[in-house]
Amino acid sequence: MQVLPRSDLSFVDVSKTFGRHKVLRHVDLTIPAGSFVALMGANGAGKTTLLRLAAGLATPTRGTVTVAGVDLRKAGPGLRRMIGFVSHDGLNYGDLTSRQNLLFHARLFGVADPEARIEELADALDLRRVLDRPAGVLSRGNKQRLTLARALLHGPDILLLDEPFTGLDEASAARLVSVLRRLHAEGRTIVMTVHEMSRALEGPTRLVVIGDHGISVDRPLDESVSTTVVVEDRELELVGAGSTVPPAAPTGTGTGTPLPEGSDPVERAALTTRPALVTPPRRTRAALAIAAKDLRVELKSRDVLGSSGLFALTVLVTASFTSIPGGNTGAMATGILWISLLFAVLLGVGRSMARESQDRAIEGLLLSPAPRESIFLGKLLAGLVMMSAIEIFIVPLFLVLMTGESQGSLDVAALMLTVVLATIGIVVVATLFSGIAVGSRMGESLLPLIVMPVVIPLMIAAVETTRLALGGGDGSTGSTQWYLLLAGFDLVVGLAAIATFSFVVEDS
Amino acid sequence: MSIESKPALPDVVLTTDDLAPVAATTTRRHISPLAIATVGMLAVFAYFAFFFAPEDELQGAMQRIFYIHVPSAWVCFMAFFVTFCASIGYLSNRKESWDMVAASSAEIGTIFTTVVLVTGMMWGHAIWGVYWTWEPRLTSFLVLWLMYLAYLAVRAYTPDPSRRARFSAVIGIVAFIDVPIIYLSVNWWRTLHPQQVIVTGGGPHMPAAMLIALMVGLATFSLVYAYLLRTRLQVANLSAQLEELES
Repeated sequence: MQVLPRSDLSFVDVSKTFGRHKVLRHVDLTIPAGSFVALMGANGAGKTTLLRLAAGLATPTRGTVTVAGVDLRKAGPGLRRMIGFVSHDGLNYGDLTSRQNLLFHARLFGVADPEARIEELADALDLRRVLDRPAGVLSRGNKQRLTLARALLHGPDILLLDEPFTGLDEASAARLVSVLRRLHAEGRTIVMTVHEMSRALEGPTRLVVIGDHGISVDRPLDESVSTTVVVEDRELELVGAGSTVPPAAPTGTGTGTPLPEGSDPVERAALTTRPALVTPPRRTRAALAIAAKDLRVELKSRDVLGSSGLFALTVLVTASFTSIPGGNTGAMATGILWISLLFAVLLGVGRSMARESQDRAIEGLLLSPAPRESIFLGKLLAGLVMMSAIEIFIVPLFLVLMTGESQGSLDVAALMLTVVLATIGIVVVATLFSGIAVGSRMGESLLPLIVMPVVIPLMIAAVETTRLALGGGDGSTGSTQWYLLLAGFDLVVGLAAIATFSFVVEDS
Repeated sequence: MSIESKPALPDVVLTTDDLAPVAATTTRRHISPLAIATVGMLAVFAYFAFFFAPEDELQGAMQRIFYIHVPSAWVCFMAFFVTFCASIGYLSNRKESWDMVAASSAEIGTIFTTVVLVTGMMWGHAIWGVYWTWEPRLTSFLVLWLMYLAYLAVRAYTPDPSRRARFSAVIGIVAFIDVPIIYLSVNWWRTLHPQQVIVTGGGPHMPAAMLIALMVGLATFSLVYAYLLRTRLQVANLSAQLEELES
């Protein structure tokens, strides 16, 4: 049996407020490695918040959360490989199959042989039947299994589960209990929020209840004495007729229950063995993996190419026969080109980020050891590829429909430089702000309102340089200034976006 | 182990004592020294702008709008710089007070940007013959105004306080990056806009009396900004306390 590292989880004087609303107050809690804790409390008591703090998805307003003695705020991305998190939401991409979702996360976590690991978990968690179905169409029970598989991919030492029994039928719930007991028996630390006391008695060896003023109950559950606890304003009498949980036995470094007799050895190995891990992808490789995932989702759904491409096409065609006289290469014609491309970007990038908020898939990225800036770079790269695909047919169409006689003096290199520089700037701003828009009450419809003012200087420069390129001049002082503006905008706003993107996508 | 339920515990009732801090704050009635100083300076400014400063030979009385236009632009930049710094402060340590400062300053800055645009249009109509022209600095101010409207819109449409603070802080930082472009645009693009007359290589190019009136205007508008910021922060603090009690 492998020996796991000591991965104690500690909350020291932790408080969490949202605005002025205090969710957690002065929580002091130490969960030694190998514990199996049931976390209870009234709705709004802060159970989920406590788990999110432990998962690194939220930061405490006061106090510290440590994993294996390391403050989560100061910990590097590598520490995230010690934690697996099962939340209310699946954190998966509905358009991708279960296998594709698992492969993507396995790569981000640096699992050495992702395919083999997925096969193991598929057998262990009875996922094989749905492995090649889109995650978005799975039943609640299968979604929960997929979520658990995602959380176990990298063999975490600490498993955090937020009401994992919600929506499960009795058979699925019993299977989950069995899985959790096995993980505990191998020394994994498990913290699980539950609403029903009966669930807290099916495996956990410790009960923690969060009250209005911090931890109100913290006691072992394997005692044989009767006691009274207050949970959700109700007094519950735990009658000591002997625990349903088998007595604790030291296995590995854990203190959990032994494995049930007769368990399938293959199944046991898949659940309890730490898979071989390699160094997780750093910034560039993680960004490429995220971009590839976005493009794979797009190939399945064709949402962005369909909506954005058709939008730009419709604007150009409509404008060409309604308001633009032939041969007009002035600011109006080029302005229409860039307005159509700007809105195509807003539609596409907004849609792409909205996918991240569905099923809270973005949190799957935040839980991974991928550097935060790689999330931005990955989404930026995917956005640029999608926009390039649209521009490949929109820009030539613009030249055919709206430039008339000036086509002969077209400076192709200058036009391409304009398209590249302006597209980068627009996609940078749209990617950064799309996270804000989808997190607001207005959703994606807020995106044009916040992006357009910022990119107006860029649009002016793009229109001017496009006009100059169509006029055949790219060596004048004027065009150089405009190109400097485009490049400077890309650089300055790009750096600001990389620096601030993590604040946009973090939950709280 | 089995479970037996007992009756629910009684609810906690909010008493009037909980409202005491808000009541104490709202019943405080006194005029602050800052308010007195602000009103006094406004009177002094009116004298300097409309009586002390000589009338411009070419532009006539319309030139006096300069004493409102330029200090408003100064306060606009100052307000957005404060928003920028407070936004960085909030993202660094997540203290709500930084968010309050950033938001309050942005609101005031938006008002002063509006004043800059309106006075600029009035002057433009009198001197250039048009209310609006797409001259880069005017355009940039308009862009800045739109950006801060977007800042306020994001705050209005994001109910969760911590998310609202983070989102607006990011916009506050990115938007401020546009400010140098505004400042440099006068030199980058040859335009209709009057070239800078204060900060030039050869020193100020205006009569001393006009310069004094302008400096008084800058001091006065800065004081107005400070007073408005303090008042807005007090209101924001009271709103937050009320929100806390209601929750």
